[in-house]
Amino acid sequence: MANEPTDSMAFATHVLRGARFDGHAVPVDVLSELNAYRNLVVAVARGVFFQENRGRQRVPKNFEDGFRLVLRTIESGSAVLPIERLGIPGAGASQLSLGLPQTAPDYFERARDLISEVVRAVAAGKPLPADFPQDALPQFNLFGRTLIDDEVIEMSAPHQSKADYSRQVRKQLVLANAQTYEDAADVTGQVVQFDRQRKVFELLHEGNRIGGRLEDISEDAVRIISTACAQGDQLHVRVEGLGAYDSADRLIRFVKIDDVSYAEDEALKLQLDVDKQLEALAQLPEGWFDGEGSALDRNGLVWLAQVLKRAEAEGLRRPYLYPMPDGRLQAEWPHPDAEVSAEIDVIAHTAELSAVMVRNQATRDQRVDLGTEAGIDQLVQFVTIFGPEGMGGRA
Amino acid sequence: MSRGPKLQNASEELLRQIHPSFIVAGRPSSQAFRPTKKDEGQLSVSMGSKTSPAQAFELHTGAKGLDSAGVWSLTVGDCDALGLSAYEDPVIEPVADPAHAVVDFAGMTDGQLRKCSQLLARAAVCQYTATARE
Repeated sequence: MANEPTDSMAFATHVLRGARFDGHAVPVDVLSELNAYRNLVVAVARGVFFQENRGRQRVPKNFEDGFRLVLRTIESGSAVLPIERLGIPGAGASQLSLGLPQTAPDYFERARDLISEVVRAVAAGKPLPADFPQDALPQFNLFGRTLIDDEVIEMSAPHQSKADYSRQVRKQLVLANAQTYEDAADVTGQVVQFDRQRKVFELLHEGNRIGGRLEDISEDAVRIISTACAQGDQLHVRVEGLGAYDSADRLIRFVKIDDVSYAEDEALKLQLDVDKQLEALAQLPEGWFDGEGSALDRNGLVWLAQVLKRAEAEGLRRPYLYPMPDGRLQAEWPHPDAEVSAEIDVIAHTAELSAVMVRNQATRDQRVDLGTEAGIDQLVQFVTIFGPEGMGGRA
Repeated sequence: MSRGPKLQNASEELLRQIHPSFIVAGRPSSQAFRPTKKDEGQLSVSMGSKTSPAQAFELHTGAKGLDSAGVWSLTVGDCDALGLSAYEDPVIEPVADPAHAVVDFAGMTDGQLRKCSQLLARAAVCQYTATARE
């Protein structure tokens, strides 16, 4: 392992101001800002290099190697982050290989000062300094993400006046050269489009359609999105991550998605409420299935509600209930290892039960009379045995 | 029967329109994956190589005037695993549908139909659902 330089000198001091920092503590997530700041300095330094070395396509090899920042202490008394630079400024490859005098401010110190200068300009409502490299402006997207409304990073450096960096300043800096800026997103809404092939979805939130990509999110999250979309306005989802906002602070699209969840945990269970499902089925008219499909017998549905509630009290999970075109009704119970269904004749009070094991396609069928207590017990036993709580696999 | 050649590519996606009544809490019924009596044993699908889920949805709910809550996909391989064959079945009229194909369930008993449809529903993946723009 190479020897670590031990010499260091003050590079900048960041003082965190805001209610969160009143206890002189620094939330761990805020420490990520130091890395973002370091990357911002590097980006600006590269920009300055290219401005002064027109025609060069690349920065010198190991350009960044001489630039290492450390945080040795968090000073007591307030949330003060004294950032030190390891090694000797100006001794990096970027400086020496270009034959610059060692007394010249190196690119990183100049970048630090330019950052403070541009922050001061924006905070004061002045134009950006002409020598600030425009290509580095998007880097402000990454610096200051953890700040909330009343917070400021007060940046200071040797021989420089202070610069107050806030969410507002950050937004203005990014929008100086772009249509959108990035910020945390945590929104709830209706999924109004899901397209697995194009890997996109849209969330309707406060009248705006917010686009998102399905790439880089878990299959569970994809399933939640597709399920919610099929439910329309009945099942909303919450999406958390990073979003792109326009100058009016409208969320335009999701840039990165960290989590997707049902807006209400109980929503799915409520969807499977027997009375609610049967009420919907009772509304189906004759011809509900593209011109075919018999309406379901209402008295039969009342009877079935009683049967299923009785079975639920005996431990039967709530089924998914679907109409059948011939006037019967199909109840389904998806299990981890099996699919179980019951085709229920609500007039004859009978059910054809069937189960298939996913791993070996083995099946089991049984006909039960749901007009009897014994028949209801048989239904509960048949469905339960294929579930996680049952013995499964014996089919 | 005027159907075309058997589909051989196991990874070919077969797009199936799901009737709104066959969706509860975002989950399609196994009924959506078996032919009804009028289908004479042939389950209608669209070939993913010839159309997209969105296009298939638009054709089904637009020109064909039929209901759909969305598009779920199977593969020819899913069907093969259950001993089911799929065939090209382009339609010219009344509504042209060159991507139309069928999965052949002909000759199956009710029990076999139930088993296959349960396993196909299990394998199916949601590809597209939409709420019409206002």
